[in-house]
Amino acid sequence: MTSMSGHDSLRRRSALAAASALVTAVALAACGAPGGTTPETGGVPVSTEIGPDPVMISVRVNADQEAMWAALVEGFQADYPSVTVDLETEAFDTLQQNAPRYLASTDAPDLLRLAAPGDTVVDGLLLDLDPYAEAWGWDAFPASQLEQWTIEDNGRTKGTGTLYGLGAGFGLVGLYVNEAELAALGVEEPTTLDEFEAVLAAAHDAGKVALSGDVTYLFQGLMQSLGATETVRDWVNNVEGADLDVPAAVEAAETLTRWHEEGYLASDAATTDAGTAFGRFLEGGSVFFAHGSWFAGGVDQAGGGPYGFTILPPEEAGAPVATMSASNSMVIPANAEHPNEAAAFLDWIQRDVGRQVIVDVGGLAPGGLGDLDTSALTDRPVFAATLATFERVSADDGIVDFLGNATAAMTSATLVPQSQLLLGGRISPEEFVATLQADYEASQR
Amino acid sequence: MSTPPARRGRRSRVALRGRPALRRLPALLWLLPAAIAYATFVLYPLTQTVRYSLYDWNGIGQAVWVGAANYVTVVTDPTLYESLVHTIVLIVFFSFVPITAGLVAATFIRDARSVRAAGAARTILFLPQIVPLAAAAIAWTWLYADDGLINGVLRAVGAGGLARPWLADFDTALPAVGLVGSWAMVGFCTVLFLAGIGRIDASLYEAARLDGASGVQEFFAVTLPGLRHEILVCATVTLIGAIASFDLVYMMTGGGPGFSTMVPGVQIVRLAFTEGRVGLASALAVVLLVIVLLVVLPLQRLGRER
Repeated sequence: MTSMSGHDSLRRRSALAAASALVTAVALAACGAPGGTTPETGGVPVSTEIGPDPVMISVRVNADQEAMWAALVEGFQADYPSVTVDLETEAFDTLQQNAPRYLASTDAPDLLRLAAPGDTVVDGLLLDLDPYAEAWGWDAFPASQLEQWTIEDNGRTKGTGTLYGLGAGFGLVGLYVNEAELAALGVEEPTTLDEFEAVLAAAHDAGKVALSGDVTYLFQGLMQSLGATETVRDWVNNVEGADLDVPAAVEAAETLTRWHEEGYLASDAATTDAGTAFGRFLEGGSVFFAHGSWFAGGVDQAGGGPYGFTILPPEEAGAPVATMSASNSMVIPANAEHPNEAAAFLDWIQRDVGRQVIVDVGGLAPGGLGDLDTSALTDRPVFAATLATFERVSADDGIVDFLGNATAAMTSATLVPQSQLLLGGRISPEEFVATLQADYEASQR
Repeated sequence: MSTPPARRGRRSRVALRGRPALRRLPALLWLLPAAIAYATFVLYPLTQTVRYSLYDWNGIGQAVWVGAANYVTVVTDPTLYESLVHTIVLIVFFSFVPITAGLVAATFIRDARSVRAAGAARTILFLPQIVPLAAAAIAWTWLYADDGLINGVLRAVGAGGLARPWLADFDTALPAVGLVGSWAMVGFCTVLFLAGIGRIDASLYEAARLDGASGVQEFFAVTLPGLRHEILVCATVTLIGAIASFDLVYMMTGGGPGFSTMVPGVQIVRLAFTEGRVGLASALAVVLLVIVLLVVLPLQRLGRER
């Protein structure tokens, strides 16, 4: 009996607790919307003069580039002895996930690596860099260097408007080529898409995995090779009414599916992470590896080869070439305590010593102006090839941002799962392209 | 002569009964630290999750009141409710398989002639429990890879036709992830069941044997009823593990290929921190909480009966 009544009272009590929790929850829910605190901006007058008083700025970047940033910080501190840089690093994905909260924090860093604007401009989290661009002369840089972070008042459309970010070096996507394997096949380097497919077939017939890498990059690369560069550019730049659902996109998806079905790609191409695919390429596991120029340093250091770097050829030989490229973009939070010092660092990275560090340590194409001394790159042939490719594509105005940077969730919520569904034969090329467009429009609302 | 202590005892009991609040005070004081921690880190965030679930909010900017719209999305968006369906599949692997395998293993270990073999079996089965699940997940992705050990063995024994990239295949990815859950949970269940079997009166087994019961009959007549409470504990823990699963899926497939292994735990983190849809993520979290309660509360009641 006692134990029964004990249970009864326990049940009554837990019911009471649940009810009161619910009441509290509803009461709290009713007490106003969360969020909405816009950071104060413009507290610090814009200046390029850095005084003699000691200042500490905090810089938060991705851990995989720690060596490059350490070298940049060292050089900058030598030129600006009153400024100390507190460098914090974390894994790239984590940093991008946490970025909005860092930016909104009252204790925001002074400089932060942000891959894509997302909602940050809409939410007023970024400092307007136009005054600094004028003061430091960044507005004289080639438009292609500034375009991806020049954003309209709606906070979405890129290409015109206010400058919110500046690159610390540029990376581009291309094709790493195992030249030894290519020579063994007895084929020339392809100059058209059809020739490229013939090489893939030849490699497959020789019992090789022809092509590995990021399939979402391959899809975009194919679209651009098929002449849809401007469609992609408008789409990524969030231009009003941009539509990816064009014949070239469907053809690109069809081509990728065909390559997969023919066995030119590894059977698990759509789910393999970049590191694994890269490792296989270096072991001779594939003839081509489609990925970013940030792997060039690793290729140059690896044995075997020789290796080369190029991009997907266009449909017609000699047609303009295009590929995807993004800057190692840095932003200054609206909440930053020392924006002037942060801007001075950003500027230093675009000048002499900074540019050289970007090249020598970062393995990236530098921003800013002027010719580059590439004489020291003779023992880094693949990296030198990425720089040459960058120049070649820039000359054709073929540099476009990544599809994945179009919206905050495009890579993880759409491109990756949908490309897996496409190569898994679960959706048609038409459905693939339509879903990309539908998800894009859903996030524009 | 023995009256004074008895009287003193009665008096003190009377005194306490007269002031119930005072009698409870020490107990309440002892509860206070835990209660504060629980309220701060569990109850308060819970109320906030419910609150956020009623808004369209990216976690930073101005939130817009949308009422129940997020809950409607949870039950109508195919990728969201399919992730709930995947949870049911995972329950088979996280709960049903480990409990069944654990019962079998515990019975065999109990009957084992060699003490050393029994000890070794117990240790081997329990080993997955002490490996962090995230680390185990990485090791398993290597085993499951196209060029991994599992396919290597299959090809070596001439069953290369069965070889496939297990985690990249739409049909095998979810069971492959689920099996790792089974692997991780079976040791926990076995050890719990072994402890339970140790508590069962040995005379019951003796009586069963004298009545001529076979090993199987003995299992169903003595072991299974005797382990009722242990089975309920295992069911509760493993069910929560299945419904709230995150680390295995996040590390092994990230929800892919496509959405074939997407579960609510991973979806919530994606929505809240990658896609900036904190309201929708909160609504899915609340639905997940309700499902956990709906499954676990009846089990608890079952355990309390008798």
